[in-house]
Amino acid sequence: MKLFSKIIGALVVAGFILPGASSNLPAAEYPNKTITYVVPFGAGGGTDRWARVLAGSAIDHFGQAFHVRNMPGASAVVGWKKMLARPADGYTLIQGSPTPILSLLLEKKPPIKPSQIKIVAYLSSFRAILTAKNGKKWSDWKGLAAYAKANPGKLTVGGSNSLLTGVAYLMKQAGLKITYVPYPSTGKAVADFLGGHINLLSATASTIKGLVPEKGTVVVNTSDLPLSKKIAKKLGKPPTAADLGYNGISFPRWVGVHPDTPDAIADAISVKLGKLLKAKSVKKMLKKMGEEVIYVPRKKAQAKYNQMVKDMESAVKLLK
Amino acid sequence: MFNPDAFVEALTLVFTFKTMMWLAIGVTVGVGVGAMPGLTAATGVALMLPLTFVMDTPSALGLLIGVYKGAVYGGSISAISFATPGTPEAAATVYDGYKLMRAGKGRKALLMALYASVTADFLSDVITILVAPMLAIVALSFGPSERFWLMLLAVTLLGALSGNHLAKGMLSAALGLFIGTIGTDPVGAVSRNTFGLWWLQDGIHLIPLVIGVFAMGRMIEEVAKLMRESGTTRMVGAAVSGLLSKTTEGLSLREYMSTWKEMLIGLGIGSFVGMLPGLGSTVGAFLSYSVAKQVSPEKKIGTGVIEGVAAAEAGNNATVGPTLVPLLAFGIPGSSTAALIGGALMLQGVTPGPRMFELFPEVIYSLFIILLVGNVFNLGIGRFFAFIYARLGELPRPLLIPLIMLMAVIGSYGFQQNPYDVVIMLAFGLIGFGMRIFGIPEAPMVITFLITPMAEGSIRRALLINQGDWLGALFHSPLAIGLFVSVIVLTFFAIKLQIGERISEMGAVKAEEAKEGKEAKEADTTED
Repeated sequence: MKLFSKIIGALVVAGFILPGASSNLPAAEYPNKTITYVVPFGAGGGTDRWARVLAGSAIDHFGQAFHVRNMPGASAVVGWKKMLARPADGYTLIQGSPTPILSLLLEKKPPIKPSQIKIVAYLSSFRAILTAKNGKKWSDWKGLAAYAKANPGKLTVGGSNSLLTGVAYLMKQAGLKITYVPYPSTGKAVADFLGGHINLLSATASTIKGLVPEKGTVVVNTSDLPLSKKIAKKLGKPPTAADLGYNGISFPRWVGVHPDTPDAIADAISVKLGKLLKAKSVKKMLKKMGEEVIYVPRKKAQAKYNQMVKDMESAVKLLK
Repeated sequence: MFNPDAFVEALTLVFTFKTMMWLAIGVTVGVGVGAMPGLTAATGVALMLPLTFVMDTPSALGLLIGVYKGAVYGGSISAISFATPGTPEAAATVYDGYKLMRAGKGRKALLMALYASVTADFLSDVITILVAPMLAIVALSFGPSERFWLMLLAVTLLGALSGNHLAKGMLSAALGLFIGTIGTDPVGAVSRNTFGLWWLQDGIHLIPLVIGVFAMGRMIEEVAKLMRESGTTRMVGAAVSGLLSKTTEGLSLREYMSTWKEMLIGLGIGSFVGMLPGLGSTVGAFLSYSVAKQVSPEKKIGTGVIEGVAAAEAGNNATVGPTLVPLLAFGIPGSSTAALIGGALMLQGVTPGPRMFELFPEVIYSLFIILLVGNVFNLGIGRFFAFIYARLGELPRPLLIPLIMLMAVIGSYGFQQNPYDVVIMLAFGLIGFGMRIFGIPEAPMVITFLITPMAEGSIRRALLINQGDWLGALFHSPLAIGLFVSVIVLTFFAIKLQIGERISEMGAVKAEEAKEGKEAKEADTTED
């Protein structure tokens, strides 16, 4: 009986130690098992498509496969919480966007804080491109500033909440008052913009590409991130927030791990993700999807993320 | 303008073994996905999307359109066989479909659903092809003000679903209205009415709600009935042994033709609803069902008749082609599935939008041909599935009830692998059971639940655009005023109809009482 209880005791202790032991593995041995890649949104969306493209070539660069798991719900907070509930061993990655951050900032009692993440890399970033119909008084920045000053609150801009924060951040600095009309999806905002129900549209470059030059003129790239030469030419070389003398926010596609993950493992993931993004097949597929790779390694990405959370915190107050 | 060279090229691209094979695979997968509760057409298309990365354009379109068409029909299979809507748009099919199944006419109901789906789908595809750009312009004139009135119009049209007791219908609608406000505020993005539960931040999803109300609620009721019955085991054995040998009643051509009016209603409403971004096939199905019920009261839709199945199924499948209209004409996806198809086109290097007609006419024609040919595949493959499911649906209740309950749990969990959805489904199962006990209709709740966030979002956006001016927000354009007038006129007629029905019912009761009184008097006289 004593022997039996000793065996049980040893098994229990091993049960506690072994998972910990795996999380203490040196970064050189990472990874030695399949990596769970959490997509906190439904299948088929932008984040999901990125995840599946990366998963297709992950084994060549990580030496292990990515198991993509869609865990949508509560504006991506369900997936985030599930990631936090797993061991901090680098075997659970999460890919996010500004959506969960915005939702957490808007909550009075958020279930988690935007800081509960260790960012390992930025894969890409998107900008809020402000667009007007052709031939309007507000179809360029100068005209828009003059019109908005003369008619405070009269101009209406539509878009998803996160893209409107980019516009709000710029307008606050320029001292301009316009009306923000939030939409549940960019597609619905585009429909109302084309139907003439709102004056301006805030959308990503890939959406605006389909509208310019026939249906609209780009007023300003509200972010701190210049467009690629090809896209800038297609969109009529719009000014960035920096060109106008203001700060801008860009919105990242970030990848993170549990905040307690050892730095060495987080660094290893960051480097491997950078290599994965350079893979021919990945580059080809992302290009086909109209996506742009703007890789930022761990430390720089973490600093940018912290700054973005601060900027968004001040911008969301304008949307309320 | 019609480009004959591009059309011929599209024909040669589509009618290849490879494209046809992917179309057949797509429809087969789609019907299976649709029949599985919790998996929607959008989920099916999303899961197939990575496969298209390495395909040519016609094969990719064949696979995705096949899945889309198959899944929208497939939803009706489990709605009819197990009272569990495979997809939310099939919820309206449960009313008559499941009653037909219980009456031993499951095969007839499934075939009616298939034929109505394919007929309306085919005709709506023709409409899409002929008038796509023109319809898209009409859709664009619907801004926030117009959409708000359109939602109210939809609620007015749904009056018939309240049944005989308007008050109970209103109670159900009020419940739906409240449930529709749970979650994130559509404009301020702040959560509300969540009872302090963070996982309700996204609100209640349609899938666990319809599975709970329509499947779990009914099954709890069936369990209660079953507990009162005896001799269950004997009944099970006899029914199972007879299941595979007996022949079930099919659908005659005359019966199919007799539902032309319901299919036409479904076609018109589904096509219109489909091309307006955001409304979706569930609203199309319920609206079509409700209008058909109002137009032909003599057909007793809702009591287990094929006309009810035809109206609901024509209404949801007729949205399939038209949801692609805004995508093709302006690059705006009308639904999440249309967005995924747009994504697949972009992966093929084709950006959806007005220039697509000019730059890639062969792709547009290929898409149109696949839309039409997909219906033929849906017909053949759907018939095969209908035959199998008709047998399964006739399993005896003691076997079927646990099976359906299990499907309801798996379906609500499978939707997003979120255990909270199972909790929500079970809660709505109890609510649905309670509603059935007290004779409160479920449909007004589902519809107001669907419409509330859209109507609220629309009116609040209209108010923002009009600087808080209510008059401006409500009557922004002649179209908004026209829709407002339609709401008033329809409400007036609905009330008049309701009062008329009540008077005739009261008249009938009085006549009955008078007759009984006379008979009693005659009996008394005889006794004397």
